[in-house]
Amino acid sequence: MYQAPTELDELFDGVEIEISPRWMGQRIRKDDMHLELGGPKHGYQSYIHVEVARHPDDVEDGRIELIGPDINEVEPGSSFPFGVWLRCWGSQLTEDHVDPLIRAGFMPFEQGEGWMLVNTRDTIWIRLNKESAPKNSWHRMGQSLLGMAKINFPLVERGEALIIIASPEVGGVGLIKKILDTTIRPEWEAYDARLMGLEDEDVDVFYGCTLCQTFAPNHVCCITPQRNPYCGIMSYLGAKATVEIDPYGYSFVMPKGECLDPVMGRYTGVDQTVYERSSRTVKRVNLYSALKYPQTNCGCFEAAAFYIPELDGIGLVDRRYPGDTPIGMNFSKLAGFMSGGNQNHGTMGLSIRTPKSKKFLQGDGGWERIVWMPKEYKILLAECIPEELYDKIATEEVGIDIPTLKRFLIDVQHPIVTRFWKDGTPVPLRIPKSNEPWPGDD
Amino acid sequence: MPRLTLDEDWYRHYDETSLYTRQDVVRALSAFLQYAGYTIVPPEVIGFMKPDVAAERAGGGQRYRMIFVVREGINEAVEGFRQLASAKCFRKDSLDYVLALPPVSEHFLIEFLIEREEWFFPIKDGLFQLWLVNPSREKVDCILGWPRDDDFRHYFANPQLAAFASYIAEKATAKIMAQEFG
Repeated sequence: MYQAPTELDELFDGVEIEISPRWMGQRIRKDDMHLELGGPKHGYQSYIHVEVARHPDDVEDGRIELIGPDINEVEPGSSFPFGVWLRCWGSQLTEDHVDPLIRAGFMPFEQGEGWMLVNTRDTIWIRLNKESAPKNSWHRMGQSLLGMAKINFPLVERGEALIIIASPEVGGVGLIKKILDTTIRPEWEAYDARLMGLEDEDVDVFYGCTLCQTFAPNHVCCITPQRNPYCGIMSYLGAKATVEIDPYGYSFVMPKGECLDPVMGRYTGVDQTVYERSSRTVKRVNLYSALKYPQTNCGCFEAAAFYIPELDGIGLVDRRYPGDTPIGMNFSKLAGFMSGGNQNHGTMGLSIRTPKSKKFLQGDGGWERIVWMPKEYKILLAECIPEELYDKIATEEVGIDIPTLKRFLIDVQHPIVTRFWKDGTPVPLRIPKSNEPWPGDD
Repeated sequence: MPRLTLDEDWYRHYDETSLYTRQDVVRALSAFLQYAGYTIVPPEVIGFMKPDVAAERAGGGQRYRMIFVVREGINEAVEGFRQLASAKCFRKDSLDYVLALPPVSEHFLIEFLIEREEWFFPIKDGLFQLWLVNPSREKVDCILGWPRDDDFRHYFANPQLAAFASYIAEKATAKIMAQEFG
């Protein structure tokens, strides 16, 4: 048991390692590591968890409890399952803040000199290198965790930490698994269910993000409950909490205003905010369309939707697929074309999770307009593709040439043939140039 | 300075047009450094290279020294880092080593760092920094690494962009796992 300082100007007293973005993204190879925690070797049975306490007396501020061996007590190259449980209290702290608070809690691992952090939640994987091991202890790491949570998240007024290094002597993977199964996973599932259950109509405001404007000067990302940002790093609740912590940062409130078109997802507040934040370049955005007035694209999207004129359909492709698509481009070329912050009608960036939204491309016909996607991506999205459509969406195994795909779609009776084609023939849309309006629109 | 050929077969040429010259970037970078309290000092030869910009500042009982190699786009990034690596052989950790580029395509940068090429780990292992300098908007951001002088936090246009390294590192995980776990 340790007691960490609780005064703001003493939070890091005695911490010997540097905690700075300078160290972010380090990767420590097996031969260089002093200690490994979690990761594939232990079937990812590990966690960093944040609990928001209801009452100030539930938290003993600065208390750090260690169960298991300290860093200097293990052999170099050791590997254990682990758990870090932060219990925080603040008069304005709520369950909505858990997601960003976990990120703040990760920081000493993510930005700590000599530490490597990979993934989050129950796929977490941490390493400490040999060079930095002598400067580290769990006492100091616990202190850093609480300190970073407090300075990065001022809503945290009190915090304590329970660190378990699950060596065989203290219960090994069985101990961690029990905690995960009985307490932590149900909480994660409840949080996710709440997030997934939230619809755009349920909230009063959306959020926006301009983090990528350094790369794409006119790009504005719209974040709604049913529309994650392309990069996949933030949820609607995460954006909400981020704005509460830093109201003048790169994330901001995007008023909904009046809903002009619920199918396309057009809102007056979104149009106005995007126009102002895009250097007055983009006047109109449809949240649920890749074809007409889609959101601008930065460059960190994980996947993309693209129009295939000869099929009057939409294809999907993710970063991992190296081959060509039916429009003759691989992901790399497509991304190079569509990124940069322009409004490119007919293309839209996606996060891996975006297609799980019920409103996914609903303005374009939803899944009934999707005609092609790589096999692996299709498998990844299997649970959100309507069952009756799954076998009707072509993959690279069917082909990428238009005549073959056209024949396939007719043969499998893909709904695009009757719903969008005319007399069994696709009628290509005349897609306007970047940032230009559709004919008839101002 | 002679323009180096990029067609060396072992790294890629990106279809990117330079929007700004080196001189534009040097000018904007120097103005930014002075705004952040640094003195621009005449660059000296370090081993086999000469930086384009050198700057220093004393503060908080520390003396911060930085050297910058300035290039016009992602196609010159490997050569730029090579210069910085050369300097680091001689000056070790006594300096901050920064490659400064004008704004580049985010997508190309992701491919450059990890998707198609693998320059991210050499950059991280060397503790090199990558800054993007926008002469038109007079804004500077640190995309990879971070200066020893944490006061830059108050001067970068968007200090949160340092999290870009974390985003890239997550993508790199698959490669490490493949190496270690097959």
